[in-house]
Amino acid sequence: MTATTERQAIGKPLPKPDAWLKATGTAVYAGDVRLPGMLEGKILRSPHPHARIVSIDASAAAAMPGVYAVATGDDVGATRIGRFIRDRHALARERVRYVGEPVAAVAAIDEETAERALQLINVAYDPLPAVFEPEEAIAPDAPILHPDLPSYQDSARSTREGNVRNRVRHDVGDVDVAFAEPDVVVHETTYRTPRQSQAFTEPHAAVAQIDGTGKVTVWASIKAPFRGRVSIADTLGVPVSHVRLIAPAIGGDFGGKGAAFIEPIAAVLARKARRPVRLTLSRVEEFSAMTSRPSAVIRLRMAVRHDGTLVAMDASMVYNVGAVDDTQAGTANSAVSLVGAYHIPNVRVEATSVYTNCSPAGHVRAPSGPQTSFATESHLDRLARMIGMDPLELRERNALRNGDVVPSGHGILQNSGLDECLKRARAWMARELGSKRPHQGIGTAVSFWALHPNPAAVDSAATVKVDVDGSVAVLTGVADQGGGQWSMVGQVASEVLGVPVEQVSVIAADTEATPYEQGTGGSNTTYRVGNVVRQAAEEARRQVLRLAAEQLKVDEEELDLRDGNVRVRSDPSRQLSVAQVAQGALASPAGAIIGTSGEAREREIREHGHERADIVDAPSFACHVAVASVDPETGVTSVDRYYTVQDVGRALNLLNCTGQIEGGVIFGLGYALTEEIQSDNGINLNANLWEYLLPTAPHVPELTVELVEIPSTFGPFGAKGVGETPCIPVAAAVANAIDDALGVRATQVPLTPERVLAAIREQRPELLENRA
Amino acid sequence: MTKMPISLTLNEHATTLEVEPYWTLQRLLRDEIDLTGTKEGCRTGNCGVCTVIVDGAAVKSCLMLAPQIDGTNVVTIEGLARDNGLDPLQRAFVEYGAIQCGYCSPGFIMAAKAFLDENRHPTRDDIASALEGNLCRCTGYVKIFEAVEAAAQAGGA
Repeated sequence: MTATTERQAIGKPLPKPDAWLKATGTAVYAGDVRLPGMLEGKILRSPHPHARIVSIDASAAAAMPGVYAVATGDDVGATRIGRFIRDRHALARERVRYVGEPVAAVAAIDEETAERALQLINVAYDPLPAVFEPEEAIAPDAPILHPDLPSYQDSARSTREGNVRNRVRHDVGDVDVAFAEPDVVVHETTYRTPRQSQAFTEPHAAVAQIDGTGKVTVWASIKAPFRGRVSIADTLGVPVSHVRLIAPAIGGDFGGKGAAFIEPIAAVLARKARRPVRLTLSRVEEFSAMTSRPSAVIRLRMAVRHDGTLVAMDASMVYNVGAVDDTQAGTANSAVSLVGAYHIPNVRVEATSVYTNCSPAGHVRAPSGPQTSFATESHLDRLARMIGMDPLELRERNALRNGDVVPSGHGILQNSGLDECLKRARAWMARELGSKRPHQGIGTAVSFWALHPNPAAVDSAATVKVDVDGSVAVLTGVADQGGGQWSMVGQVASEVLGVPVEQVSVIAADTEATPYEQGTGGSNTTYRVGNVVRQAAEEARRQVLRLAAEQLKVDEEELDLRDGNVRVRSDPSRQLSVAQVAQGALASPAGAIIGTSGEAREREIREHGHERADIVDAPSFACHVAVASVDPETGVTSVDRYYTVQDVGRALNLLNCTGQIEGGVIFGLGYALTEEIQSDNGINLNANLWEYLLPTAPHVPELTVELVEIPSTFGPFGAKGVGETPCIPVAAAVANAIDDALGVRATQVPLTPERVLAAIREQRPELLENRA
Repeated sequence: MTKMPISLTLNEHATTLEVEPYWTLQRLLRDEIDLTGTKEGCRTGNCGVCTVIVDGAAVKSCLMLAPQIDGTNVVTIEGLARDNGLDPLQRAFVEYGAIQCGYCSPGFIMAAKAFLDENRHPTRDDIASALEGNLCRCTGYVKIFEAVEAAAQAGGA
């Protein structure tokens, strides 16, 4: 790559090109698409948590003036859809399994007409017994939600039986022997975590259009267009080549826009109506019928020696995944993420995810991270107190180090920034934190998001074209849900090709126009997509240099490519612009300059052998420090200061990097303090933005973000993932600060005043009794 | 229902419209005259993505009925930039990284615009209070504060 230290684009705090559109109101989101003759769609949803559909009479609705289509389960294919396990239909067939499940849909001339038509649809239900808690659902006589579950198609091997969606065990060493060791301190607690909504500001939207040949085009707020089109095709019963899915600007995702829910319904309506249909969800629908982070109950027992050596972990985790599970094999990664960033020789973890008649579970920023981190990082703090050790020292002593096999067994850790993060956090605390105020405490927690990249199965590709004016176009399937993926693509191409970033355009997330891409998420997009864009750009660069060398009659090695010009190093007056080279290319036997990622990737793998999946090349570590004050009279916790130091490998864009981390911390603070979907008999009660409490501007504490840059070996320019890590350990850091402030341990998230007060009453009643 | 005629100044243009009495201002802007820069997030006045400026005050357009803007001066995000370029707030939001997914940005910029027009030298606490009614799920608000501070210092707000 460019040998000079002065970079074209990488590492700079560059504003995102799409931000100009967003600041002027000209960015187009799916719900902003306007087509001639476009109808409004609305969904009729189940009022029952569990019922058999006896009959649906939609004749009155269909006959209403202004109604163009009514669709029911009879209009969707028998093939089930789903992000990982295929456990649903776009519109319910025969049975409903949660309150809010789509049962029918209408397309009408306007929203009011569509709403009135929904009221005319007569659905006869035969209610079935329902279960809402995993304990009820796994009881021997429990009603079974998915009688055909064993035959469902799943993306990975899973253990399914009754209402058990999946069960995973992680077993290392001999736990029973370890706990029986003399002189170990053992601690056991049960932790509970809530259902959390992604709560993106843009509710789901989809606009579907069918042409005269039956081909469907859908503009949708979906971050994985190539995945989404499969669900649309299966629902319509057409090949994927008949479906074009375009993901325009997306108004936030946080895991909730990775799979098709409303898009197939919009397509079915458009096909029946023979007109374009727009379907947008209300906030109530988002909160009551769409996915959320599954709640968890985690029983955790750990043993530590007096010198601070962790010797054993024994745990069981139960996840409530609702009636539809859009989490990856439910529990596969969560069983191991409980072990966290530590070397523990003896581990036994059983993780079970259970279907209930609650609203669906899905991915929310750092799937399984915040639940497991809350348990383990809380537990470590208690263990440290029990043996009289500084909590950060306990973590330092047991931290994973380069060369260790990470707990998942998926690989050997390399390029770890954990030690450096711990060191920096300790230095910040010593420098910045003086004496504590009364009822103020300091809590620390470590975050670990293990990326297991397998470059040989990267599931992404890119094409880079150099145009006759020297501008560059990158074709990539990647969607940008706000994380800056498109600006990252532009920066990488700019850097490799030596063309100013303003001259790089990114054509993205269109299943017909762009190469395949598995979908944004998991903090691995920069790593995966950045690499294929780099490879495609390098291929184009090789062509530029080869053609320039021919024209300038020098060796390619003599040439320098910067700022849109190719210069002879020894004689910079001899130069060609990239535009001249590109024009010359058209007249050459090679033709236009087009680089693709495939060949370059194969070559890299041949040369470096980095298809190895047995290394964790880009581990993302962070250390968090919360300074919080607790009012012992009311249990109200306020976070006064917050510090995080995170290893990002290489910050490709400083603004985007720190923005991800700041946003992640505040996302985590919402989880820690206020966010919880509450429900009763399967009905989500606080399905609105005035009762589901999100952090707002005045809640932001004094926030300090520091970056560590220990490069990955194979990520683009050394980059590692950024986005999930900062939200993971916040609840634990705050709980640890509460413990430090008052000596009480709250074990249920969110750490509401009621729960903190209950913990004070139970563990330190004297704090209340001393009051007049 | 019978439509009602209304007259207003919309983004500096004298405008006459026929509106249904039950339409919200949000519905009018987004779905009837295609000014889609004003977003829709909750229809209950809690998220602020639909904020516009009516007679100098930041208003959540989902909570105002269309006939209520008769005789007023309405500015939406589309009307903020002038001939000499973007408003300093728009520029600052871009340059300080205050925009991630961007869905809340038009509402934040309009709310901050109305606020800065009345408060030339705000503290960070002032800014946080003024923007309390606008939700952002991406940025954690820090870069939004920085952008508003920068725009205030630029003095052009």
